[in-house]
Amino acid sequence: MISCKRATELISKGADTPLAFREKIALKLHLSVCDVCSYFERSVATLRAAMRRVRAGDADPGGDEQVMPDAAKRRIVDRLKRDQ
Amino acid sequence: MGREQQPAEDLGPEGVVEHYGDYLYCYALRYFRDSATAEDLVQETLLAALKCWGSFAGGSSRKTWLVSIMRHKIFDLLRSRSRERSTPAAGAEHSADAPITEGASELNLFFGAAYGHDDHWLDERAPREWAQSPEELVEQRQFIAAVERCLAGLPARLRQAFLLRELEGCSAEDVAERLSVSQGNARVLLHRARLLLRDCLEYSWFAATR
Repeated sequence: MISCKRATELISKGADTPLAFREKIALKLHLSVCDVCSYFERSVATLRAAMRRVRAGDADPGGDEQVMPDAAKRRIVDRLKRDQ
Repeated sequence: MGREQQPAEDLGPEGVVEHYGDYLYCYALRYFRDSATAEDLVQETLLAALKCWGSFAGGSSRKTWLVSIMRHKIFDLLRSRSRERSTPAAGAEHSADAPITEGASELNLFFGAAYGHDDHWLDERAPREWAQSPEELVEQRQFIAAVERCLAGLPARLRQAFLLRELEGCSAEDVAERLSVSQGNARVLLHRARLLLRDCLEYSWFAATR
C-alpha cells in the first residue's frame, strides 16, 4: 500500500496529467481505505473550482479590494499622456 | 454609449486608468507581490492597449481584452525572471532541475511516522472533511476571498505555478516552460502549492466556520 505522502502526490499529479495504469490502481486502493487522502482529493477539486470562479467572474482580484495607489495612477496617466 | 464602447480618446488617460487600473493592478499583484512591478505591468499593458484601442473587435469585454494583453506581459516577465534565475552564472542550485526548496520545510509538518508506517498524515495537520461541496463553497464570495488571501501568502514560485495552471489554464508542460523548470519540478511546485493552500484554508476559513 502506498503512503499518504505518495497518494497525495498522485492526486496532484492526476490533476495535471493522466496517471499511469499502475499509479491509478495504487491510488484507488489507497483511497478505498484512507478517508483523509479522500479529503485532500476533494480539496484539490475545491481549489480548482474556486479558481474557475475567479477566472469566470468579474469580482475584483485580490479578494480584499486592493486599490492602486493614487500616486501610481498619476504616474501612469502622465506616461500615457506623453505617449499620445 | 457605454464605457466599454467608448474610444480611448473619449475616456482619456485619466478615464482609462480610473476605470481599469485597479483591476489590472490587482491582477498583476497576484503574480508579483510588489507594487512597483504591478505598476509597471499596468503601465505597459495600457500603453500597448492604447496603441490598438480601436482594433478591439468587441468579442469579449474590454476588461477581458486588457487582461489578455497583461497576461502576455506577465508570461514574458515570468520567463525572463526565471531565465535569469537559471543561467549558468547563477549556479547549479538554480538550474531547471535543481530541487525545489520552496515549501519543503512545511511538508515535514504534514507527514510523519505514525502507526509504525512512514509518510502518513500527522493527525494535527491532516486534511479534515469540508462539509460543503466544492460547488457550494465557491458560491461564497468570502470563501473566494479567503482562497485569494492564502494564495497571496504562498512562496512566489509556488503561487505563480498554481496561477498559471489553475487561473490561466496552462498545461503542466507550459507551466514548466514559463517558469524555466523541469516538468518534474513543475509538478512539485503545483503539489506543494495545493498542500499549503489546503492547510491555509483549513486554519483560516474552516476552523473559523466550524
